[in-house]
Amino acid sequence: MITGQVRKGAYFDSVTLMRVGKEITGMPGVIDAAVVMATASNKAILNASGLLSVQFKDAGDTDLVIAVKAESEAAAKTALAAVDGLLKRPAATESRPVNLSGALQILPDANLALISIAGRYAGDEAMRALEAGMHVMLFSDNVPLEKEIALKRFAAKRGLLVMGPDCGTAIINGVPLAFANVVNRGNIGIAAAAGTGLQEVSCIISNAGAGISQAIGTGGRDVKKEVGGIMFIEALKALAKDEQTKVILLVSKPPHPAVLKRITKSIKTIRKPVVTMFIGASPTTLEEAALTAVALSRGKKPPEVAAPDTKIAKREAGKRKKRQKYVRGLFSGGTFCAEAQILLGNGVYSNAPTGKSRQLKDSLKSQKNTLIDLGEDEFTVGRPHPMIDYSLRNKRILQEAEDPETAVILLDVVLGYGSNPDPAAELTGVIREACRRVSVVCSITGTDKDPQNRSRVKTALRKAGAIVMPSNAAACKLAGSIIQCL
Amino acid sequence: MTLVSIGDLVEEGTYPFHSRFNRAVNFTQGVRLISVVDETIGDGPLNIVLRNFDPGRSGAPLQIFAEEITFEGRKYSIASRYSSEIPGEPRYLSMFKRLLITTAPPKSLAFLLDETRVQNFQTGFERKFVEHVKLGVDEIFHGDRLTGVRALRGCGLGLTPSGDDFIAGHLIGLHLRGETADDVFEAARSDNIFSNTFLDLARQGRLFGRLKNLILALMHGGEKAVRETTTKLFAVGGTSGADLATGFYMTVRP
Amino acid sequence: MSVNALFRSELKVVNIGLAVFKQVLDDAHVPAVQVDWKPPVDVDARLVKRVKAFQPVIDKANVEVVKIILSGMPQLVGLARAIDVIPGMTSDTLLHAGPPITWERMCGPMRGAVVGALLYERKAGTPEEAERLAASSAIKFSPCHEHAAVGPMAGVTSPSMPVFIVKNEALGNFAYCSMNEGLGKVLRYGAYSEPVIQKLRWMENTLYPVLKKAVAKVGKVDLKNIIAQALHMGDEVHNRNRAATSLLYRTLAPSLGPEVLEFINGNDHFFLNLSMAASKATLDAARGIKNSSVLVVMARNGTDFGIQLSGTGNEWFTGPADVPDALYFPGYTKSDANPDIGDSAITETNGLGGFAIAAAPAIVQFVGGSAEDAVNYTRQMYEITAGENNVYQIPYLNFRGTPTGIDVIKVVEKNILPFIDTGVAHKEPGVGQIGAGVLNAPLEPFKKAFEKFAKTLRKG
Repeated sequence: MITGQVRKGAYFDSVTLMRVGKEITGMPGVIDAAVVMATASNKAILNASGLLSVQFKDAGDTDLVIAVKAESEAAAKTALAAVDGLLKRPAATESRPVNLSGALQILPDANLALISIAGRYAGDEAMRALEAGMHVMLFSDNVPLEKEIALKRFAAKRGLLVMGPDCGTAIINGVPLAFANVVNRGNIGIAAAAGTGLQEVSCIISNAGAGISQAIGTGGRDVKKEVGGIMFIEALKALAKDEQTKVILLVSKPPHPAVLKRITKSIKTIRKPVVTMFIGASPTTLEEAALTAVALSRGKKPPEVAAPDTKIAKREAGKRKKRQKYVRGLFSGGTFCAEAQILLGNGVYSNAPTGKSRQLKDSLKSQKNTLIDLGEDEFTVGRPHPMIDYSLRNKRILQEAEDPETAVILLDVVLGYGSNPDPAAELTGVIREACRRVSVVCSITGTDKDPQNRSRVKTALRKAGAIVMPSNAAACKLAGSIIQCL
Repeated sequence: MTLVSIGDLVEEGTYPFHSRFNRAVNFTQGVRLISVVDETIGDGPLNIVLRNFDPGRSGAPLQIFAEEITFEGRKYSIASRYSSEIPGEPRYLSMFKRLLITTAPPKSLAFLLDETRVQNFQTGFERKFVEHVKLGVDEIFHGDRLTGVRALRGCGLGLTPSGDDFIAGHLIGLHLRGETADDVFEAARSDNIFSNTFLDLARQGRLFGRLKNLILALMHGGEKAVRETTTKLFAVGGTSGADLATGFYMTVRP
Repeated sequence: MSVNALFRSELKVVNIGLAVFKQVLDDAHVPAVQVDWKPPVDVDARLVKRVKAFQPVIDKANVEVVKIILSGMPQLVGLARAIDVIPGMTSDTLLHAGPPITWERMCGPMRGAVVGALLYERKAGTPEEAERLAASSAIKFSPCHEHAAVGPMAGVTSPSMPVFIVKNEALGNFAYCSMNEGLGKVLRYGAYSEPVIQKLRWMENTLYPVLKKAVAKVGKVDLKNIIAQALHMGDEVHNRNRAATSLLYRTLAPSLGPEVLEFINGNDHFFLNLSMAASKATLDAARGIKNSSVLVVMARNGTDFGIQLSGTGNEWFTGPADVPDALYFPGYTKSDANPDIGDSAITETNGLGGFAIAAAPAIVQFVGGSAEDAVNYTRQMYEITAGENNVYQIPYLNFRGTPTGIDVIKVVEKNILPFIDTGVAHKEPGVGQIGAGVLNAPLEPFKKAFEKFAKTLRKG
């Protein structure tokens, strides 16, 4: 039997119509079908192919007709009913509310608000979300401290999460939020007060074949005295209760001593293994912490720290001239710059000093061993973050390579959603240029499932002449041993 | 969004909203359409190309002034005009034919140049479509041209059905050969404003960017340039680019 | 939902801010809604705090106001000459649309209408003479709204003009509005050529007595009932009055002669002046409720946009009027358009017009939008209103009552401005209507009203 429908004045592009026609032709019981504009020619063709229905009589050039020849009425009906869904265009007519309450009319059971508006407004929006019983991820920075404390106290009382302010990344229920990497799901839960630190450990875990249950960011200020680690401890408690989580990994810059005390007390009540990595305070690196968590999650002992391979270091040192003596680290991730300072130890200058490093006089001019955090405000005001916009760092790479005292340039490359979509294209040119005079050592934070694909980036950077290490820590150690071999 | 270019036939005025697609928003200018499009659709005599295009949703009318336009409530200043005139005589046509046969999308009208491509058409409707098109095209080139055009008009899928794309290619070919084609346009005209706009421009020998680039390449005959511009033309619509190319080639071939 | 419950649930996200994060969620097939966030209105934080502290008192007052608005019973009870019925009308007064304005600051169409009215009243023999008279102190200008009246576009109402008398049966108050002149060259768009004046005279001598008799014969016409029905028939009774005009026509037809019938039949907007007067009668009853933040007036004079609140007495809060986004008739562009003008925004204030546009998808299409846009406009207005109508309903929204009673606090808090649909006048007098369009009210009057309101809040 033949049946049909007419849609007056419905315009679709041929790609859509072809797809819809094909899909209904393939449905059970359908012998033949066509979805075309009812022009005289098309009607003649429909007639010739036995698809012309009397319903099409009055349809004209601007009307869409759907013709179905089927074995039974039921099959024809099913096919026609499917057409609407197939024709529906996504996004184009989607309704866009202007505030949270409007959004909740559309998605009444939303359970998380991801907020990235200007800091002075973000706090109020976050409070509205909490009042509506939602968890909050606050990507925005510059939220006043008092506001942060008020939000977190309010949330803690109601068992809600406030991730941030200045929380760049989190992974909840396997969903990457904001600047996150696409990692395996698994049984390691992370609480982190350091954004790039969280990205680094979650990627290393994923690349080692293990996976993440939940990764909760808290924002760096959470572990300071004023906030008192409210959310860090809430996150820890939630991970302790979570059945999917077998091992807990904590990542942070060193917390305030009073906060550390509270965290330690909390950890003692937990019966799962807890790996802590307080950058600068503990002797371990992000990589070691991540691999320890991986081993524990598999019921194995933590791995021994392998002695660094000095062969590459000697080879690179051999290529350098007499005056080339120093490391120049150019970081897009603040956590990486901090970790590098700890690992390189004495005699380091930085624009964001930590540990034993000294303050660099002029952030635009390196002296001796210099490690620069390009994510600091002095570089980012009025321009995108260096993980997105490579132009500033690329210029600096060439500048450092020109400096006759530079022996090694140390870089981090961060992949994932939100980061630059093609870092290989951004970097290969300058790396090739720099490698003519200096050694370039870098690490790539990311996975093969990231939109940029870690392996592809790695191959491209190696081809350009860079030495690509598996982690930031490994890259820093190699840079350190190259200058020791000089 | 920033304004990349504006077609040479876009005139000053206020134009009501017509329709919205993911990569184009259309406005009516009398019997024709002015389209605000993204860069993948690109230049055209009546196109306004925006970088980082967002179709928006307000449906506000498009306003064109001498030095700026207003689209979706925002102003963009006009920097450069796209010239849609035919740049010259295409020569290296055999190269183009080979590409048409080998690289056109399966359901395009390129089967008119290579019988083996007919096997891409499987369903009852599609097989009748092939027959219908063959008869119409035969009529155009070997019988009564206007009868053929009327048969092809509106046949096929989409905003500009394959038959209309073919006729547009034919019209451009006729213009290039210096023949007037107003009767062909009149015979091809329908109630479909997308097709009418397209055909009207073709009759005047006005080219959209991808076709102009192809003709430029065919004037000089660099293998790589012809290949690249052909690929880009075939990427237009589902089969539109290839259908138009077929009509054009069959009209101007030696 | 506790954190651990979140871990066990499907993640559903509201993304407020960077759209690229929504893209990530879409890629991961996570249900997510993007919020097109706008910063809140910048008002003194202390005043916001004060309003918060008074919120229970305000809520109570607003409930009272909404109750009065919903119980309004506007009925057309008769017609009379302006000077005989409009309170405060004198032989040398001209009423005009919007907040108070001097001759010097009047826009082109309003000046044109003033000239026309003076010619019509035979106070001047030539346009030049009329202008001189208008500029002298011999003529008093006063807003319609301050005389229980309303006027569309320029809204110029002169002593001899016949007006509709609308009575709010619930509270006994009256409202007045002139009769609609139809389209083309008309006084309300500032035209004053001879045919315009002739038509006004015809209205006075022919239309007025016939209509007056017809209304007297039926006793009264229930306007609320007609509006409620018209909303079910595709009108929003501001920019589309086709159904309401037909319903009125049906009610009065038996007593009207062919000449008048033909006039009303040829004017789809005939009912507009009645829907305005009905709204005015309804809202005037809700004036003067202490501590209420609900609007009783939104009106424009082509230069300024003004509002009044129930809780702030007769004070006007004004700011510059914007030029509407419009579909212009062939040959005209936005640069020809006059800023927003007319008392017709009283319909929006009463939960009609732009607030009920979901009931009238036909006119959204007219200005280039889709039916879906219409629904979204109305939906958004629920965010800034204190209540929903009990009689005026939107069929498409399952007969939900229209958003009614604009709350200035919500407007400022959410930075959502009332949505108005309207005709557009040429900025030069006498050219007439050059398009129809939509616009949001300007922010400034609402900000000023909010600040003053916050300061006048009193306990008890």
